[in-house]
Amino acid sequence: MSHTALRLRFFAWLALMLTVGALFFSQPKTYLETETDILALLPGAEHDPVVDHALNVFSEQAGRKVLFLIGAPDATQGRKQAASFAQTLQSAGSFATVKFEMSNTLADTLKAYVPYRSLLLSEQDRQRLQAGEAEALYKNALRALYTPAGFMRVESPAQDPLGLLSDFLLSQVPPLGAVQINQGALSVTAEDGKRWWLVVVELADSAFATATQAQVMPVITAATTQAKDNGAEVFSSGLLPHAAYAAQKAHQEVSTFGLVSLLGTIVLLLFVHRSMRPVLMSATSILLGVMAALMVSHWVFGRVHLLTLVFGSSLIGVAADYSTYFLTDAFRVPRVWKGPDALRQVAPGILLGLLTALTAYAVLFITPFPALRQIAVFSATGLVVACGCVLCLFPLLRPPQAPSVAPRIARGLDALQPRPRSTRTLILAALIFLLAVTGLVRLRVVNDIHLLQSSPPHLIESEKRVRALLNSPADSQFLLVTGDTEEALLQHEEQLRPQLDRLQAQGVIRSYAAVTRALPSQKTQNENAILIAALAAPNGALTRMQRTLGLSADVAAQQRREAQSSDDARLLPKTWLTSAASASYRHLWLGRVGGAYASVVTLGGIRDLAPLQNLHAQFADVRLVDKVGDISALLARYQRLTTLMVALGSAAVLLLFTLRYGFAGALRVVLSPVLASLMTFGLFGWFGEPVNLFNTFALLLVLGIGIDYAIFLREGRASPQSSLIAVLVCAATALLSFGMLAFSSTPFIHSFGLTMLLGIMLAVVAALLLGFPRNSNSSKEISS
Amino acid sequence: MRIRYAALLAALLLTTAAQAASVFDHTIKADGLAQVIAPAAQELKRAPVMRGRFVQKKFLSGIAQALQSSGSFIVAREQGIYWHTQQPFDSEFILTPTRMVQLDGGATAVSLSTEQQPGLRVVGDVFFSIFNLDPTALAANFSLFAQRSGASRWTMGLRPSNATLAQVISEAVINGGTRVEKVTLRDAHGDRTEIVLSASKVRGALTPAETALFKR
Repeated sequence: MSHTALRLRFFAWLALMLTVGALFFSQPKTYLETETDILALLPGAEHDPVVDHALNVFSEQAGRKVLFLIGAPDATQGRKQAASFAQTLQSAGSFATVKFEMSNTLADTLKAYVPYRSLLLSEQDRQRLQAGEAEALYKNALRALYTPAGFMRVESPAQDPLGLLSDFLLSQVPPLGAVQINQGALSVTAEDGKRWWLVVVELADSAFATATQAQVMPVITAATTQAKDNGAEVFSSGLLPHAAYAAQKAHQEVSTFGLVSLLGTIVLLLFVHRSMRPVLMSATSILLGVMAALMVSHWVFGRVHLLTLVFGSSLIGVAADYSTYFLTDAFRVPRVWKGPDALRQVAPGILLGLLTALTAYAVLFITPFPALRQIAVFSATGLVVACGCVLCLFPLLRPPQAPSVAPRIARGLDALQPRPRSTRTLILAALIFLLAVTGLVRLRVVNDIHLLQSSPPHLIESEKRVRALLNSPADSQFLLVTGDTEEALLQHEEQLRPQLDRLQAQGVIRSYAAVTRALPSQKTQNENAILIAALAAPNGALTRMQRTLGLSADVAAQQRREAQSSDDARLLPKTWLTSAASASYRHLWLGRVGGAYASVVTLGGIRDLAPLQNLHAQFADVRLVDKVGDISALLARYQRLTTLMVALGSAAVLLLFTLRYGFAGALRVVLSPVLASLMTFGLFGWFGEPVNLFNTFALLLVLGIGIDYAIFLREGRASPQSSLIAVLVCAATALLSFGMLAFSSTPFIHSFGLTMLLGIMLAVVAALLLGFPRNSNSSKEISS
Repeated sequence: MRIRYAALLAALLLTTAAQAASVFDHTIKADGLAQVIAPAAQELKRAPVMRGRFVQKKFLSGIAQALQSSGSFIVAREQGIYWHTQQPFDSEFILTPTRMVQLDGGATAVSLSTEQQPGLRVVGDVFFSIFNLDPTALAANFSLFAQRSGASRWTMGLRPSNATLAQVISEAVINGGTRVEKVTLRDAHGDRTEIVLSASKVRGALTPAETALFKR
């Protein structure tokens, strides 16, 4: 290539890079902003956008709640501590609500329903009236008058002679699980008799919002410390503590791993080149790569997830490979090496490597996994830019000559060179293969949602404790009901409820909560109006009860008129939602989502999922949502997919390389990462470490990177020493970056990192074992 | 009409005021209350089971005529309350710490657990603490008032100290000597219930049939 062309390319790329830098620094804050919601990285489990949207709305709401259980050896002392805990949170002013003492909501609820009393019936009363058993209602009302049962009535018999509104209100008490009302607050009594007091807070914003976490977590920590200092115990449950911990941990890991990886790489490069310039050149190419990657990811996805950065920090390792291939070419012709010559030597290998990597990322990009698509875009951009820097800028930056290789190191490198195949190598290879296969047989596959959580044991323990004590409905399994209109939605839910009552009676579920308990459909309200009007007939149950009570004639007449005024306005969702009556149920009403209306029916104490899954067959607008199960199933599905991609990828590369190296040559190149992958999983099998989707993803990269090594050793046969140095330096930087991830506390990053760590090491070994033996003449020439 | 109501209202207010003047002026702590009601509490301590007859009168707001019922009762410490209404009709009411059962002619008409109906527990708590005369339990839910009258006679006043209880009851007055004699409950919606307990007999343990009642 002519010098002019080189210069042209140099300045063109330089201009492009300056633009990248300028663009980045025009609004660095935007590009460095990250998202931490781990579930945002998962694809929607359902293909129906309404369902997905509804799920998001409900999860977001549910995620804002945090429960605290506070207990002390003495119940009264515990209540006092819980009260001051709630007070501390309340006075901080950073929560939307803090609930401890139950307020007098019953009176407000009653007030909201009174105008509609001629339209409202509890399910039991309604069924009785439909069956013509008005007499049973009359009898119940009598009992309320003469026995202690009357204390359960919400209104005086003088206002509600038959207790219809009382029954309606009492029937919609939300299932509290094991929670009981004690001394005006909610509490649970543990099996050992200790009483735990419940404090419930609601955040003003998403639990993942960094600002919320920063504002709220110190307050919670302070209140908890205060309670503990006073001898109380505090357990928490909710998304917030986990989200805050994960965010803090991820930030910490990004900076630690990034720093270690960076420092390690600098030290390594200094050791190899004995000059600062290669370090600066490498660093510049990586930095530009990361900046461009951040910007492009932002343009494509709007926001970059923190985990993309964690994986992205490992990009440093791969991007550094290109600089390394280029710079270590200096060892090929010590003292007389020239940048432009190097280009001729290494460009084909680098471009071939980049092509393989881009193919791998393109495959990742077409998966519906937002996380992987982001990582693919991020990494592909970073690699292209870094590669461009190496090929366009490096030749004219006058990289330094190679230092002389110390004899000791030269001997060591010599010993590592591929040798003609001997019986010993074959036996060794056979043994490794056997070990891998026997390990693979023992391999266990486990994909579940816990892989995505990095919560420390004390948080998980706390969560478990609270769930066990409260016996509370799991918010990861519930029913979603939809309808084209609000009325249709309410009717669908009402059609479902008799079936749920049956399932409850059978013990399939212990309880459920549904909006229609508190907000009947207009159809039901119309039916109720007719049933209630009949009670006000001259000999109806209402009229008789009025006589029993001795109500004055005008009050009695007024009550009967009200009962018969069926043309009253109906109770509509809009009115109900803004009234005190909806307080306990509002979170179940999702309203308009997508093109439809949706509500959630929460389920408590699920004993068997199958009958709940079958509901969809019977009710087309009802779906069981099982987030934990869905995510696990999803992860498993993608693991099968990626395994297939690894296999297909290997076959494709084999085919591609056959064109260049012939079948036998291509097989040697492809076999080294394939064997390394098998061996890695074999080791997991032997050590009883279960594998998941993220291990398989790592194999995809092991394949890409391992092939790079094999190619480079193959392409660089003319100068075995320099190409061996290149591969070893590359492997070392890769271990420094990807390998670091093995120490992550988030299970899936750990899985990914550990696979990379083992896979890369084994890939180098395999590449050397399977490499073509050197040409003995050329080796002498180099080392002399 | 309006005049009649006004007169009724005035009368109601006056009786309330008279009562309030007698008990609710005397705030007391749990240990003070223990001393005041000691005669009855000691008697109760000796007798795990208390039996007797009752007469209940219910005064509904806005209705002049009282609704009267009567029957027998058993209060068994730590087991529950059995309330057998015989007049004007036969109905049994059983309250245990975890359940409420109503029987009509021996057959279960209503059965509710506190888990199904958390409000039931609130009502149950009131009854148990009143009949067990446990000052500590009472202090957990009520502001306490008490007064001695005569050698072993006393009057105790209770006002709920939390909003949940206030939804059920606004105040209670209990009179007694060596046992609880009269309970007056004023509920949140303004109705008043007076229960006069008489001929309380204290006798050993529950019969097997009675024990079975609390297991229903």
